[in-house]
Amino acid sequence: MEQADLELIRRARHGDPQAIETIVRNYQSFVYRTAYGILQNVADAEDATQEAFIRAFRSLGRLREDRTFPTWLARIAVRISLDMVQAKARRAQDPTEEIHGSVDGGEDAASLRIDLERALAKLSPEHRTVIVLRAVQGLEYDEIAQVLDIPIGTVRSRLHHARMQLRTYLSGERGDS
Amino acid sequence: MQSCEFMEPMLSAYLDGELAKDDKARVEAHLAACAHCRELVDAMQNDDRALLSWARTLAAPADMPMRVLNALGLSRQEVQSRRLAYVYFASLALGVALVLAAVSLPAASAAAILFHFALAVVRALFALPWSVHAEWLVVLGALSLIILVLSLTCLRRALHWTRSEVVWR
Ligand SMILES: [Zn+2]
Repeated sequence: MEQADLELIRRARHGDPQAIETIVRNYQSFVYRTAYGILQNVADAEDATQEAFIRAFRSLGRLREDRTFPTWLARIAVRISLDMVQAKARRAQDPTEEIHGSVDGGEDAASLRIDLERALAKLSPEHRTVIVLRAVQGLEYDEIAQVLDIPIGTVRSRLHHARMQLRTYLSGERGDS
Repeated sequence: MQSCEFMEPMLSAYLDGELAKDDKARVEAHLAACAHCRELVDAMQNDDRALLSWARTLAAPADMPMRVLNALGLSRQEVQSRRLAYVYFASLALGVALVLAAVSLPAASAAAILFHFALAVVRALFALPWSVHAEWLVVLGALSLIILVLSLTCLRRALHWTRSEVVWR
């Protein structure tokens, strides 16, 4: 985190709307992609993103180390998204029914996109989460351990299983090896 | 050579550069000899790349900052209306405080002093006719008349202006 980011967080803590606006703009992709990776649905991902920021700014006073803001925010976003997945699972039956994505455009890119989303949707929410945090957000294992509140050893094995599962589903979808 | 089942669980961490030195060396030795595991590592790497480029097409709605500010009650309109409310209540409090001060403070019997002053002026006005000569009274009466006419004219003008302003709108 740069000095300017830390200054923004300090101002946001005092309720400065401009600082809050800038922080949301800087981190909205980060939060949204995490939420979408877990929830696999535009509307839910948007709700989760909004909720994550609201919760973060309301409890910003409890953040001890401003430097840890990104992992702290990711932690909030992941928790909200996983809660939403659970709440949804309790209500509905089939999580794979909602596959979003534009089919138009480059055909290969589009079909890869659909394959990916379909394969991701078959993973457990925990596997999706860990794979998104690593492959999409590029977090280190110790950061993932902090975000998910699990030991590093668990991060390592969960990531291994998630990747193997994804591999299985993707090679099934694509029909290769 | 160690078996693939033994190596496989380490490949993911190897890919992420999260293996200890000796484990890393062991995996590398295995990969040099095992095409199956090499393919697996390549495939996982490709999956990661595909995931990354897929995720880059995902964008949060542009109005997200506004949504968050609204939900937090920090949007511009809300801040403005809250400021107006502050001004209103501050003025109200100030007014109430002034009235209370004028009524209760002994030093601020300003109202009483003003009242006495006004009373003295009125009394002086009534005493005037007896204290000056008759020709001065005529002058005084004429002056009063002129002032009265002027005031009435001004008043009519003012009324006319406000009315035309209302019509204009
Ligand atoms: Zn092998």
